[in-house]
Amino acid sequence: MAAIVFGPEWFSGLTVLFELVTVLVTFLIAVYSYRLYLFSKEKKFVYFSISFLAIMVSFLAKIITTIASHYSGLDPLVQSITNVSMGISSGTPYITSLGFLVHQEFMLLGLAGIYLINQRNRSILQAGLLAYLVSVITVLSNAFYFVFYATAAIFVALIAHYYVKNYVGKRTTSSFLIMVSFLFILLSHFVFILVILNPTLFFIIAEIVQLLGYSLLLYAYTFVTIK
Amino acid sequence: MNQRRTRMEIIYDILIAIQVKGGKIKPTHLMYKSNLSHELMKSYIGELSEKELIEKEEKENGLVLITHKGLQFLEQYRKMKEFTDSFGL
Repeated sequence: MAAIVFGPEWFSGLTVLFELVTVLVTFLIAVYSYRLYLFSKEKKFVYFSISFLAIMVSFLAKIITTIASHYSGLDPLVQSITNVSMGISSGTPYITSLGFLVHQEFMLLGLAGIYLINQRNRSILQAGLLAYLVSVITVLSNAFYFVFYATAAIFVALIAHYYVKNYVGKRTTSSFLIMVSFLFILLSHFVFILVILNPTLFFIIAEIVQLLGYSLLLYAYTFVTIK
Repeated sequence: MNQRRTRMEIIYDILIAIQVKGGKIKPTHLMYKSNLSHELMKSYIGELSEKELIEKEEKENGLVLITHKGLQFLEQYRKMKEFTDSFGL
């Protein structure tokens, strides 16, 4: 399970570096969006900011778990937290399970948030239903890892579809960059689904494609904000 | 069909109309350029003056001037528009 979720051990250093880029991008977008909320008082900006913060927390959880899994001394602490929160499959080390749980929950919540913001007729009920489904999927994913990647891929596909339509309507460089970055992120999620076939090869490919996607998003962010 | 403008859009239209005219404009011209009724125009001018985004000359029908803060608002609004257009918000 650990190899499927967190990749081969020799690659973990690079994984952490790759995901630090993701944390940086999501943090910058979240902060910028919050500043726009302070300027305009339009709620969509604060929701957008929270969604990107959730994705940032998700990747932070993954990074911390990857690093901490090398230090067995942290296990008792994590074990006690895990015992209080919920029962987790016994075959998996606690630290891996808890880290993956937080990673999944926040990733899916963040993606669901971005998807919802792009919908013109969104409501609190829809948001509540999505949050519930995301939690159910998170619990299920602990036993069947691909459920998480498949669900995340569906959300990213819906978001990417929206950004394709946005680009077709606007035809600007920035909307093009954002569309392409989300298409790369979508591709990475598809490759993550294949990790069960060859954990080492597909995990590394997925991580590299994901890094490309978020690096492009960082470029798009700087293109939009530093003009 | 044209959508109704938001408050932010109206403020942007007012300030950009002043900026395009070199930073100062007659109130009547501003009314036509920003497509507002006389009553709404008065209310917006009062509000924007209070927020120090514009200044109005004391005399009757005095010119309306954009302030440094007003120019900063325009810059921030353009950045916000770029962000919302890029992400389709």
